[in-house]
Amino acid sequence: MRQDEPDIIVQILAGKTELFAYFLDTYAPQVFNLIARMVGDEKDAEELTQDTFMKAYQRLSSFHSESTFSTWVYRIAYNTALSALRKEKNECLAITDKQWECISDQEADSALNDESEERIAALQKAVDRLSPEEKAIITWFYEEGKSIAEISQITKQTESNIKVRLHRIRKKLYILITAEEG
Amino acid sequence: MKTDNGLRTAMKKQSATRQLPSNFGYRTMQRIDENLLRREKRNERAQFICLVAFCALSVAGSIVYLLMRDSDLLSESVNDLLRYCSTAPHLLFWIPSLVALLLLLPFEQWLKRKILS
Repeated sequence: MRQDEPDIIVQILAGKTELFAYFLDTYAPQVFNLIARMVGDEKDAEELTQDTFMKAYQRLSSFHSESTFSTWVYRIAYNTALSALRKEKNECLAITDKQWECISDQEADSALNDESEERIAALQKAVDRLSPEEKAIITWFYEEGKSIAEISQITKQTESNIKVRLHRIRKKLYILITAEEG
Repeated sequence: MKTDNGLRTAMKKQSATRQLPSNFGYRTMQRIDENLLRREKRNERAQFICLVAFCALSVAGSIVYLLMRDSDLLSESVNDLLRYCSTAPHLLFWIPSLVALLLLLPFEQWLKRKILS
């Protein structure tokens, strides 16, 4: 985040609308990447990214710099994508408690650390089968390098909840790739 | 969890193929401007309606007040005004202004449409 972002916001609210282009240039690619991963279709993702920035512009006066602009705009993007997806029925992979317990952390560690071509292809397929919320969490954590605290701020969930979810996502990915390969 | 290099590479490769169109920023700014213009027009219309309502209420209030105070004075004034307007020289004086008004009103509407579009 640039130091002068709050100043830019003040100027936009005073009528210099054209300065909003700065936020579009800076954050639109990441927001688009997140939404595209969540919805799976680039055309829809482009439209939802535009909706996200329209909402951000309309609610700009409610942004009070308690969080960074990126956290704030990610929250809008996450909610926009989730409400768009709510209309569609998503197939969910049900995993029982016994299955969770069967997988050790070491197994998941080595499976997700493997950089062979086949494993990467299997991982890509597995990522596509995760739920939109799970896709969002791993995008922030692995691609954007966001901390657990930042992710919990965006999703409005507790940090321990995010930790548990990340842990389960890794195990779920392991189940999905072993099913794919086996 | 700190490494997971395979997962990181898989995700990076997927995102590398995704790209926003180069005119995305321009199109979004255009949509924002259109929305702003629409909101301004809505505000102007609301202000105009408020003004008309206020004027109508003021006129009605004044008439009621005058009727309550002195109804004879009001009817006398109205009669005087009608008498004044109906005489030929006075009527002739107002005719050019009325014609100009009738011609200029549609012209003003046409200009507004042309400038705003």
